[in-house]
Amino acid sequence: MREGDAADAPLFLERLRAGDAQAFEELVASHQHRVFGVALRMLGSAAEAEEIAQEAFLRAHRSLREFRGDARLSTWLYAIVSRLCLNRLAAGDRKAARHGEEILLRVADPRGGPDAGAERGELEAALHRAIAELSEERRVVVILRDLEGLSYEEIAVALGIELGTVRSRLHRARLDLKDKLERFLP
Amino acid sequence: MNCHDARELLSALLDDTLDARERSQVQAHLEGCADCRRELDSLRSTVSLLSRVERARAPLGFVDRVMAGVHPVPWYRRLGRLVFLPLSVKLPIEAGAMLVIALLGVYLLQSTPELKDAARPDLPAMTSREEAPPAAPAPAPSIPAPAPLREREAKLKSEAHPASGGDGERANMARPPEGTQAPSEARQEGQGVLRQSAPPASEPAKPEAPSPRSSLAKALDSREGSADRADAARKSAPAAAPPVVSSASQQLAPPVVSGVLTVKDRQQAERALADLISRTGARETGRRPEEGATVVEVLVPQAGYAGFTKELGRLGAFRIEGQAAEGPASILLSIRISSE
Repeated sequence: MREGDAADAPLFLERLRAGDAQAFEELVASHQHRVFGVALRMLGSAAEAEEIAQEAFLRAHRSLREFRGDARLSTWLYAIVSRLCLNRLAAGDRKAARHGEEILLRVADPRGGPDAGAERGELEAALHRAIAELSEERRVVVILRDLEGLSYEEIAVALGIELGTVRSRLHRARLDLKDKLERFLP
Repeated sequence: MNCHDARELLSALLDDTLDARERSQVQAHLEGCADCRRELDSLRSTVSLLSRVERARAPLGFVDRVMAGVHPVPWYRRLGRLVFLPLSVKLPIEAGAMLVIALLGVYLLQSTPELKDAARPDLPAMTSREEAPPAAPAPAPSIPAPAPLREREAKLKSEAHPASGGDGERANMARPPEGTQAPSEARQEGQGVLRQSAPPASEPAKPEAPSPRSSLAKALDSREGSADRADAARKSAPAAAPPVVSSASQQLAPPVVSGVLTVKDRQQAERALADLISRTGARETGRRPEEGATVVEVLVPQAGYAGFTKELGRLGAFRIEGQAAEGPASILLSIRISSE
């Protein structure tokens, strides 16, 4: 059972819909790392990722009464944070920072630290760099699939795209990564 | 199915998301195509590498910050947290505030003479200076007080009992700075010179009933060891006088009288005055020339004061300003001798 599956228990959902603060706090505690992780991989900045992750939870709190339970709570949260990230990346002032070493280093070491990069394995650095260099549309799909483990259907629901589009974008993303990580492949 | 079509489905094949027909077609192609098999292996390895990406963790306090955003603390609760700070925080703050207030109070007290005098416990009793008797002389202790204390007592006297020197303006409450002037400054005012001095040590002490006393008087008594003399001095004050009149400050400040002696020949008058001083047992305590006049300060025993002033009237036109009260052992008479 994946992390957060317990959050979909009917009783827990009822508590959330009733505005139970403790229930919502449990939801945040159980999903914080996943939501923050998606934002961090997408945006490359820990501060920006925290801001977006907080905003995702706040929006979820405001919309809990409208949550019908068709999807899992975790998928719903992924959908919120993914769309917030894509919107942020689509903003004009944010696009200027899309490329460059700084963004990649921040992705590689979200907690900062000048020497942290030196301690990082070469492979891991290459992985972070390769993911960060993907296009936004491909990056979000590969993050949700290969890092967070969502199914194609969940990704399609979360991003509001067709299943075939998910398959196509994921395949292109993996091909890009394969090329970038070729020297680490057997 | 050719290589292009097969490779488009390799990711889906790895994720087992192909339907049965697609899967069978791709697998059939792979069995006969080594390149596509290598491509599939590469993709599988790539996905395997991605699984090694370290999971990100939300920063510490993230949940609290989210909850704070979800349920903002009402203003009254924030205020309550400020008011009800833990003692470990509040105590140092309050102690520091008290210290600052205390230092500020001391500073104000030191920098404002009016406040300093108002803080004395016996001075509030003389809020009505107009009601104070015109003169309440009392014998001072036989041992002169130390100079600084004497000056302070003189200042107190001039404030509490301004009319005792005969200067009407000194009774004006609206002029506290003049009332607090130093004796040397007061001497420059007008023709009359107000001076005070301690009476001779030979003045006998008189018993009296206890009366309120100022803390300064007590301090003086303890320093001079003359508590009995101070009590005796208080007895000499009028019975109806307010406590301030009988205070030690009054006892230490005998009345001073000034007068103007207008003569035809100033030098001759000065010689006659010297002769008069020697004959009456008075004592010249100071002399200074002024413009067109000479000011002579004479300490006259109370017993011979009346005769002394009468003799002065024979030397020329003598006009006295102020009236010496009964009681003091001696009177300091400041005579301004001027030519007609």
